[in-house]
Amino acid sequence: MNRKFLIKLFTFVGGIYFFLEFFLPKEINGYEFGAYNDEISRGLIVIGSMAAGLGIINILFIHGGKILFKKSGWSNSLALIIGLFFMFGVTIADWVQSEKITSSVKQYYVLSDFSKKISSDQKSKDLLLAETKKLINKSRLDTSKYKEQQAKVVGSVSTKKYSQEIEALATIHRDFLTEKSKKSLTTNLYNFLYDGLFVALGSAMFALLAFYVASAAYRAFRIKTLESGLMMTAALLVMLGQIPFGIWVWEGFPDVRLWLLEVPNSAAFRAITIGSGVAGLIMAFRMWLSIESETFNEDE
Amino acid sequence: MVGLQHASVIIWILTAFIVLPVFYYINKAKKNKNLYVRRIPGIDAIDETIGRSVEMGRPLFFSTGLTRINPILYACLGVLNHVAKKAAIFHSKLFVPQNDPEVLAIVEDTVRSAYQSENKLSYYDPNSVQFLSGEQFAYAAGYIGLVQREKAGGVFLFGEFAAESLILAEAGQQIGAMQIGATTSPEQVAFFIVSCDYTLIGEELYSSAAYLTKEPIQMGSLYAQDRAKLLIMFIIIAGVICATLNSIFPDLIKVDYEHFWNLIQIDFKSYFSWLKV
Repeated sequence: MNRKFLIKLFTFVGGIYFFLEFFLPKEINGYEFGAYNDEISRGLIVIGSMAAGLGIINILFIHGGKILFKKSGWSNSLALIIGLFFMFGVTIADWVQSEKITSSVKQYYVLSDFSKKISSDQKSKDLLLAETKKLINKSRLDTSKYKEQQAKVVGSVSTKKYSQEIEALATIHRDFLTEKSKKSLTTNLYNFLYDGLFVALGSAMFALLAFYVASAAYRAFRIKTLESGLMMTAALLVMLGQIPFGIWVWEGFPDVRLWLLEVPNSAAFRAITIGSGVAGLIMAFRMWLSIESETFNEDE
Repeated sequence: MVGLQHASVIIWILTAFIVLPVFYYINKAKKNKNLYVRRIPGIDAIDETIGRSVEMGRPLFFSTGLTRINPILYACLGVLNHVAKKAAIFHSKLFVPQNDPEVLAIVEDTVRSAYQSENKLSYYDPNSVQFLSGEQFAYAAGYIGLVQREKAGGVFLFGEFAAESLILAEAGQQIGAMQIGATTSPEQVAFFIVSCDYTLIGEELYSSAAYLTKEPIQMGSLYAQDRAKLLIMFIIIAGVICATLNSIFPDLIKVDYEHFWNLIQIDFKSYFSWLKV
């Protein structure tokens, strides 16, 4: 078995599941073919997440080289690498903090589940009381609401209400820790870097579009040919139909705008979508069946 | 609204009508090497763009935008392979900024193979395929910086694009690069038309590799997809004529749609009844 054959085999096996999943009926004699969709999708996500490392390696390789050999713009590369590791560190610290909250609250739910399973066993109930007291002493919070709920939990150990009471205590505990973590340096730093800086910078890039649209429209709307004349007329009618001034000039502009968008525009959109859909389907079949062109087989 | 989750008999038939002719036309293209393909100015301009860049001594840029691993990427790789080969022959610098780490690995391999096939592997620069960011606007920001710092001479924007399309195209326009845009995203076509020198719309992107290489497999696929589109066009036109006549002369054509639909359902059930044995 050579490499080429193995690639073809894996491609075919990988594709046949999705092919059959779509082309077979939902259920065949009680057997549901798509039952494993979630598991398979999760597997694909795992493979995809492995590739994320490739991106980081590429960045380190390219910008690391620039810094080491002090090539032009090396200071920008240094800023990039520092930013990358700093954000990496802050995100991990934030994740660890939220994991701690989750694991400490999880213990309450374990006791809740345990209480649901034991109903008449006195020995188990004693054990439950001991464990509850141990947990409460371990995570003692200095709030009146927590203390009040603590007393309710201890008092309800032998009753059916226990699981409800301990879950209420877990909620108080979780809310308290979440509120506390919001004030922590890690969360604040993460929020500053992500929401305050990264999202804001992304929005700034998006806002640039307004200026680019203006400059592109200026070039496009210079009537040099019949096509650009048609484009200009259509754009003018759509704009007049959109703004209050247009309605003030003539009430029919919104209808003209709607017709232009819904009839000729939709027809063009559908033509592009159908054309690329058919071509995409054929390309997908070629990929699946490994009917590859010589372009991708030259190094074999 | 939930989309079509499982194929019906009609889908089976339609898929067969679209896919099966591929094998016939590939075979035909293998026998007849001179199959006619309509000239598309945008594809003709690919070599012109490369030539202009080389003459000016400026680098070439090839962006696949936000394309993930899908048939569109595969179509783009055919053109990238051609551009990389020409870059290798003329010793021109080539940059392929990337947005997706999975695509990065495939693109890296394609560019490397293109250099290797021209026996110019020593000219291949591993830094030419760069991962910028997985985030849309961070990628756009990185791309603008790279294009303007390196003063691109020719830019190819092939693949799937979203709101960043105009940002990318205007970046090249500002430095006077010759640009070819090709996308299957209908919303972005208008942006490319106003910012790029040439634009390939929708399926033209898929046909570009066939046009450049004239390989039987690609030519056969192109011929088959054109025939499939003809079939779809015929169905649409027939539907439009029937619907129009039906609305103008309601008594002329009497179509019992409910009965027609029931027939399809019965057909579907009988087709798969053998599975319940």
